[in-house]
Amino acid sequence: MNLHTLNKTGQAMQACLAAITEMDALVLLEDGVYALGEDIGTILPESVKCFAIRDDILSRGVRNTCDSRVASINWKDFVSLSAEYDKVISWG
Amino acid sequence: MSSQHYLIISTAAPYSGVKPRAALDMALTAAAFEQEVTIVFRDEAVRQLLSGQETDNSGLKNIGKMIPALEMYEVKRICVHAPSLFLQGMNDEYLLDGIEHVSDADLKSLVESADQVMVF
Repeated sequence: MNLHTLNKTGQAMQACLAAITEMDALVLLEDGVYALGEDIGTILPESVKCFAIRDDILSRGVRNTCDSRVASINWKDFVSLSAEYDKVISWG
Repeated sequence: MSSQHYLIISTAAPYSGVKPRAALDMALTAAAFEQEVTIVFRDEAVRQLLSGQETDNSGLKNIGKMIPALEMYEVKRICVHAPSLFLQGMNDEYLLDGIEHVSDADLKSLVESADQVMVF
């Protein structure tokens, strides 16, 4: 059970998607929230929980690209999540 | 200190900034502290494994010479992500000796089983 974080799209996103497994979760932060516009919600396995930092979604104006499976969270939630999972993997 | 399995994933091209060196330094440091270390080169980082890098005139530190040092300092596995190698139009002929191939599935299970995963 690992928590993956993504702060940009492109190759980092592909590397992350290739390594993610069913019990894992993904947090989108900074420019990683642009993954929402690339339909990351439909690419991820169903069982993978997907979160995105609310302030980053709002500041980048991508709220319209959020689908229902993506939960928006704040930094405090992120801290709790990182304690909950075995390890945190930052894909850059 | 108990030994943990460190997976270092290098993704950046050689001489592209601090990332490639940081990945190598991390691998060497962890190995020096007797941790079990696997390093995987993927995406543009596969170009760090090219043989015949010549830096005498550019004044850069030769990454091609640092890779064999990894083994000397007991970095257990030095791997290349095979799909990345293919996408870069390269094969084993271009590479330094002793580089192990890993597939997407291999990398996935390494990420799963390692105690620490660091991406540079």
